[in-house]
Amino acid sequence: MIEVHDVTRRFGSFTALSHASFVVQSGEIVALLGPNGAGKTTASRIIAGILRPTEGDAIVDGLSVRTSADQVRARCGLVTDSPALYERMTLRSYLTYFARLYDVTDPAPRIADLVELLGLSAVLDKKLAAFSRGMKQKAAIARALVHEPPVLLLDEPATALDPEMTQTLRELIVSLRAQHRAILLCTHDLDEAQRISDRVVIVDRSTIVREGATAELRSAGHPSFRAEVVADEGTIRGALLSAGVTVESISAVTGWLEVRWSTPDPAEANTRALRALLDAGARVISLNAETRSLEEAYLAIIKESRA
Amino acid sequence: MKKALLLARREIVEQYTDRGAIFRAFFFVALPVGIITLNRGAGRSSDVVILIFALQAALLPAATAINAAAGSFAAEKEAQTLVPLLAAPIRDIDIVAGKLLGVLLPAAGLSLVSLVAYRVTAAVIFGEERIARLLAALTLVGLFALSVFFILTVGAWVMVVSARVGSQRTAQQIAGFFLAGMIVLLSAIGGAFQNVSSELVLGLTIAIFVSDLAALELARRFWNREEAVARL
Repeated sequence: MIEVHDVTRRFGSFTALSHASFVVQSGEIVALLGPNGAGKTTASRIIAGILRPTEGDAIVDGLSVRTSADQVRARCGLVTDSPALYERMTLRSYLTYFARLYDVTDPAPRIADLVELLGLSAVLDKKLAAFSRGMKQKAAIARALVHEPPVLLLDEPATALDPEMTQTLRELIVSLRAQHRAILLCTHDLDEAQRISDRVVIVDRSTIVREGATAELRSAGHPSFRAEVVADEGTIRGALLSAGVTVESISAVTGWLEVRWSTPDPAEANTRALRALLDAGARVISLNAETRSLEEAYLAIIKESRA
Repeated sequence: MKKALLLARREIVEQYTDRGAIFRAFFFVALPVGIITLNRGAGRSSDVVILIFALQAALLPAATAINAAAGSFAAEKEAQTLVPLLAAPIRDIDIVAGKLLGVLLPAAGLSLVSLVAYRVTAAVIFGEERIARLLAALTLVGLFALSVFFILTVGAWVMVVSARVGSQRTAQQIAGFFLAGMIVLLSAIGGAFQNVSSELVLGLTIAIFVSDLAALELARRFWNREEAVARL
């Protein structure tokens, strides 16, 4: 479990992260979203015990990064956007080297399990320089898991991976969640975050601007509705105005018009809107709630935070 | 200390899987032997010359340490391999010690091989009796100790600098200045002193030892995770 308590990190006069607080439970994937330079990497490095917070504290698996950084590092696995391997080493010697740095007493069986899991058994004795980009990233993941850490920090792990490899990585991350690890996924790949994260923390300009369950963020704000209506635009606008519903947009689709509105009280407002449309002689083909994608939600939240 | 040795071992393997590094090592070991062989003619083989070349035989292999030290942090920063290392549960002092040992041990080994090769060659050329008098066991031990301190100083200073620059190329350029300075120093010793006395060797050893302490203290102060990560 990761608990970030009011953490600020400054580099000279530059504040990379300001008063950040969030929690990642065991068995949970939390996506830390934000534009480049927002403070995601700084946050992951503080949690990993590499950087000390200027203010506040992060508790990892019950240990403070301030007072027990070395033990925190032993409990974290870190994967960055670049595999960062010693390319003259073979995969076996590389993993054995890191296993020893992490005080793994008998690394061989663990390495055998990992390479089996990641589909790297056939290249265990090959030099890392000969690996493809995807295989190198898998090797980096194996390195991060070699000491079986309860906390996994993934900083843009799918950068430069092809779609097939990205899918494999996604399945792997989900399987690691099932092993009750706390996983923090720092990314600006909103599609990736939407697919696998349980919760989202959005950081912009060093500050956390929103935190919540992925589904919650997607439906944040007033819910939007889309009706497919056969009638002329004037009739629709008049009917909805009389029902007290503010039209956001009307667009023409072959054979009907798509009408969008949002309301804080859908049960009441939608009933009035439907009645008014029918009374005005319009024919209603469908009425649906609109779900925002995480990308739309994210962009709206960032825009709102900068307003 | 176990982890420092583990780091040092990897550093050494990394250095010597590069053919260029092996060639440089061979060159610096062979150079003093070649020079003394070429200078065996009458009038060019005074006791002073033999001793100066012995000093060079001890110190020239230290040049291999310069390149290794330059690459130690800068190359890792450039390849971004420093982040996984910093994320591992290793104390800062173990990382610095591991990298220093990775620079020191092979260069010191080369220095020893160079001294022995020089001693054997000189004995063959000038006779065992003369060389036994000029290069007594204590003198050889003194020269070897001098080279170890010198490697430690050069390695520590170059590492301090390379931890603070952005690329291996910059670090190597800085290392080049160190190398040039070293050649100038060796030439100056040869030119300035007509007699290389044991007092001179002792004085140099003490001076370099003091410089070691300063460099190591600076490395301890300047190098830490915060500094390294902030500059990645």
